[in-house]
Amino acid sequence: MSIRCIFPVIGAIILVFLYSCSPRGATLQVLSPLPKQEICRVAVLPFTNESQYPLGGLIFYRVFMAEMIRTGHFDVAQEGDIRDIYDQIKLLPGQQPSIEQIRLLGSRLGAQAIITGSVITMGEQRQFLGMNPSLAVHVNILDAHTGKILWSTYHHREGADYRKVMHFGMVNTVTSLAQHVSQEILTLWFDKGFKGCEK
Amino acid sequence: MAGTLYATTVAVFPIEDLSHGVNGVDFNFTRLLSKELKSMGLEVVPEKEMMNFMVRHRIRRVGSLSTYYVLRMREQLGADLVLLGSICQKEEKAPGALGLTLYLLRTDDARVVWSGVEGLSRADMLRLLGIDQPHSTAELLPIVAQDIFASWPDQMEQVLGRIPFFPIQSVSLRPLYVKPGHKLECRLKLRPIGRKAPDLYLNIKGIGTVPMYNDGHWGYTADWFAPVKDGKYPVEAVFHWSSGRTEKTYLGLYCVDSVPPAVTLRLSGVRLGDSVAFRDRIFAVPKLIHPEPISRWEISIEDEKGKSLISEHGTGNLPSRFVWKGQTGGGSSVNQGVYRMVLRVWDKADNMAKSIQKVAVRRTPPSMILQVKRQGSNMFVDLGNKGEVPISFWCVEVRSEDGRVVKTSEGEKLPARIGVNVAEAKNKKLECVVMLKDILGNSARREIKDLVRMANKSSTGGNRGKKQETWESEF
Repeated sequence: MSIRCIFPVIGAIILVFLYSCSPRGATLQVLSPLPKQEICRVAVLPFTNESQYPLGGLIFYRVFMAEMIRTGHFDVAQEGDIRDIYDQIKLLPGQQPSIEQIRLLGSRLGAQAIITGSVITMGEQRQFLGMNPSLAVHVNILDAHTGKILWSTYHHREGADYRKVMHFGMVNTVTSLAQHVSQEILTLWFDKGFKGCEK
Repeated sequence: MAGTLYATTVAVFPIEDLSHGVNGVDFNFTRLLSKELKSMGLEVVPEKEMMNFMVRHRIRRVGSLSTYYVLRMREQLGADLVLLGSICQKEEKAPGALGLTLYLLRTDDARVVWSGVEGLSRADMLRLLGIDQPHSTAELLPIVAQDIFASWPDQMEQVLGRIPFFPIQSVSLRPLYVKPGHKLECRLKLRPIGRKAPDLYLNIKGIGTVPMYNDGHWGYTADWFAPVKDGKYPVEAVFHWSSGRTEKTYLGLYCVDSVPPAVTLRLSGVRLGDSVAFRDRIFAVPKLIHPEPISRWEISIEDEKGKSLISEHGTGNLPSRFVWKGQTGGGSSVNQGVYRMVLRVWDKADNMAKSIQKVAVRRTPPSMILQVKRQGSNMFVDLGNKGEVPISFWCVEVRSEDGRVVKTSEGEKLPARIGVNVAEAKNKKLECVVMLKDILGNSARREIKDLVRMANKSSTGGNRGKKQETWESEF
């Protein structure tokens, strides 16, 4: 085999290697288009926890909300106000609100969009020199006026997905992984048109 | 709109520690953050004042704070900013990890103006030869605090938007499901804000404006009657503040329902005429034809005169099935006969629906027809069923006097004829056992000690049972 033939083969192997190592993106399902008016104020409702990780839903909720505030594009309703209304309508934080309750929350909080979500898996696996956390989440954007789901997003990541060379770049904590996952979801939403307020 | 942050007094709310559950608090880390803020040139509300405020307002949760309390913190503690935080992760076990989220709230409009997230593991801090490497989460804490405060804002961007509607402390709209013309009531309790309570009205679709009565203690009530037409009616509260400001907020909706739910009761058993027969127990499966929320249900067994023998009731959704073992409420078995199983269901608006099914208790053994005929050297056993319950199984066994099996036969359908050769008897008696079982499980058994004799009798006594035409003096 001549040297000329070897180069395309090596190129193909490198391409396959790069493709298999490339990070997996979040999956977005658009069920309905976003409302035409600008979505400025959003309410992030307490996430449910379907994982075995203690308080996994609350941990991801706090991180996701913090990341949403950090974008600077959204006026995010306070968790305390949401919990106040949950108490009034006798809804437990782990329960999914009905369409009617979504509309009520939207009106009372002055929000145009409601974010709901659930942590499907959250865990940590011991590895040499560190920990490999994993996280799979499902986050929805709902229209606060109709209570209907507009966008549905699924994202799954592991700490090892961010490894660059050897141990460098590896994400070792669930909190940091939740931060990365939140940022990736918000970036995807932003790219697809969920941009929040124009300053 | 961008604005410069002039505030310098920060109230540091106790930091929630989720590694110790939802009620976990880390006071040491709270103090560390306060120290860090002081070093940044900010004034911090003393811990004791902060605790007194929490006690005064009965604040139990530390991870979040409602708008009302954020505004009160400005009034009562003189705080310009409130720092809330949660330790999401604190793991001492190797490699050890710490995760933290912080939120900064501005007290003049109760908005979150900054947030930070930081997660750090000892595996992230591996050093050559282990020099200056943290050995516990306590050593990770100051590093995490410094990292997170690195993004502390000098200027804060303010996003224009509606302030959340926080004055409502509690709201009650009852009932949520109602029959046309029935009374509804709405009660609102407001948090005392300012000196004068607002005037309140309700905007109700199909009704119009309903004023709310103010009890003078920030409590409001209003009542009205449900419209005639079935449907969903949203209710909105309109606040007229003394400043001239008007605010609206959605309170919920109620349903007017005049149609009873459609319910059926499916029985599993043997249908006999217009009833379903059983022996030991009967299963009844209820089903709503158009599913809707149910408030309560009742099932009862009534005799033919309408007297209730046993009943059971419950609230909420219907059970998946009912079982009746043919007993009264006292536990005794009911007599054989026909009964009515009555299921009553009430929807949330108290419309009642009823489903009635007839059930028949059948405990008597099958009524057997047994005839033996002789034709020459052959005998024929004719087997039939006189009862109304079909037979599921029958068997006939003919044995000679010495125990030898001469003939066996079985089947599932009646009538049936079984032939036996008389020569098999060899001038001895032939014994016959017949057994029947109906589909409800009732069984009958009959033994004939001398089959040949019975056959002979039936062939010679053909006129037995025939009415005597003349009087016999000695009988």
